[in-house]
Amino acid sequence: MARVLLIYDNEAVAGFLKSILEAAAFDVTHVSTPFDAFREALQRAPDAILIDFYYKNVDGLYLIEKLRSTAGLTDVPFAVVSEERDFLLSLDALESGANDVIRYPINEDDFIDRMKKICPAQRTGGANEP
Amino acid sequence: MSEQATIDLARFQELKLSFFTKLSGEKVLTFDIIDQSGAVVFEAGIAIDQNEVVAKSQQGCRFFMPKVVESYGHEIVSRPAIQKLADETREIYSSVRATGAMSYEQFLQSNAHLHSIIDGLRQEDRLGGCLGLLRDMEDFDYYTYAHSANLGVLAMVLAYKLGYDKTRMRNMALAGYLHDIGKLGVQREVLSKAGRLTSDEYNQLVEHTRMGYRILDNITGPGGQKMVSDVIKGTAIFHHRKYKNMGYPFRPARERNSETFYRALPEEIRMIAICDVYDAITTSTPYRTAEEPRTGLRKILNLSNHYFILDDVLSFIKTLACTLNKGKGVLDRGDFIVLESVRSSRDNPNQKEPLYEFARIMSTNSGRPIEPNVHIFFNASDNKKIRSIEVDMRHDYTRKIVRVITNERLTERLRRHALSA
Ligand SMILES: [Fe+2]
Ligand SMILES: [Fe+2]
Repeated sequence: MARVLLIYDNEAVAGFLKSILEAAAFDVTHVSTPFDAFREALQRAPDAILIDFYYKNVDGLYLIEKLRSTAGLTDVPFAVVSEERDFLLSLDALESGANDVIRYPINEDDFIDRMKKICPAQRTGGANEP
Repeated sequence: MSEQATIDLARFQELKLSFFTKLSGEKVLTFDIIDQSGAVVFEAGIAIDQNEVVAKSQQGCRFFMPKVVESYGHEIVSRPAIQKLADETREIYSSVRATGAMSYEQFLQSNAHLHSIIDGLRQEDRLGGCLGLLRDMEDFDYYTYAHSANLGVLAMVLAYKLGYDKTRMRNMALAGYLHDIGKLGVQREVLSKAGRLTSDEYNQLVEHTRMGYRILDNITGPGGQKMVSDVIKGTAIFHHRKYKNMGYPFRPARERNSETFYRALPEEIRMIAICDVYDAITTSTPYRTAEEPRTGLRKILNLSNHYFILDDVLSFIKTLACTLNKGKGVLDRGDFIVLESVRSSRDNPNQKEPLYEFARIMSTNSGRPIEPNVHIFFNASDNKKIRSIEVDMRHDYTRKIVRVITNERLTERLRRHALSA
């Protein structure tokens, strides 16, 4: 089962995303503060990170950059959720190395496809799990 | 000794006990703390202990921090310190940027106006010697000190090139020098910590903005009048505010729109905020290697519309790029860029919306770092190919460069698009 770390400070949206992912057999850990994000990311070594761009009081891009420059997290694929249709922000997410930008409102099937694509293949196969 | 003799209680600022207890820890004081009778309670150079602070206050001590620079008539006691600062500013700046072919030293020496500003700062006692606060910074945290010196010079050069008058130029220079002075109130270990900060440490760091404002606001003249101009204090408190996401100090709930707030800040503060990030990116610390000026400038460009207002960034690059980057520009032939312009909204013709286009740089124009000749091939807002056009950015008043693509995956995708255009 692919393990996803969900970094999101809006509880309602986080719960929604978590339920979709869990229905598709992802193992999801949700954290809502940047401090928890670092702790969990380092402890659990997730297969992918899903992060909110509009983090309260924290610059989403800055948080991504910090996570990406932390030893042990540099190669973890990640996707960004953007609730706003802003071309530059989506571009910035890709510039900072994001594998995908997921726009709100979310199309569930499309969302799951994208998440499967960014997770390392052997993790999402289910049957291939040793 | 002579400082002791000239202590005038009216000129001391009472410290709030909360600030004072924050100072305690393993930190070493960089100034004497005296009580209401003028007796030194804690000496500069010692580490104070919180229990002692509480004990002394229970004995009836009220704490005062002597003015860091004591004035006696028109004689600045610490004139050598300020003189040293002005000299070192130039030295430090050129050594920090030893890689640059054109050093700031050379630049400044070739510029009589800036020279006279430095001399003015050195000789005048107009501000009660608040520049002397930097002396404490030098002992306290050398990185912040060097960074402050850098910003003083950058701000001054920028102010000069933006055509400010002498007073405004001097204020902007001082605003640069003193923007981080509030870091004197942050524990040294926090300032130099290599790893991630804890929540408490982060909050302490954030406080350097408000602390800076307080320190500068507390500098008063002989008649008790405030000596430091608003733009200098404003820079201390607001230099970490950002355009689209508020930065800090965090906005109060009632202040809805960070963009409106940011736009209303004086140009000096907005430009120093850019210099601040630029200097951080291009200066090495024990934990981070410095970026080349070119990379620094490209990063600044890519923060426009997000951290900074695009027009400010373009003005920063137009004004400083050639100086900072050895006479060379920021963009190169072959670079992919994003252009921003404005069009009527598709949904509502009365409304404007931004239009974004992808383009590739065909050739650069010397002396015009952000106005190359470009080849526009893709409408990114509508996600469609367009018939490609060539534009000389020197003569295009509708489009502005808002991003330069550095990510390899993106570059590869754009290269394919450009080829098929
Ligand atoms: Fe600062
Ligand atoms: Fe700074």
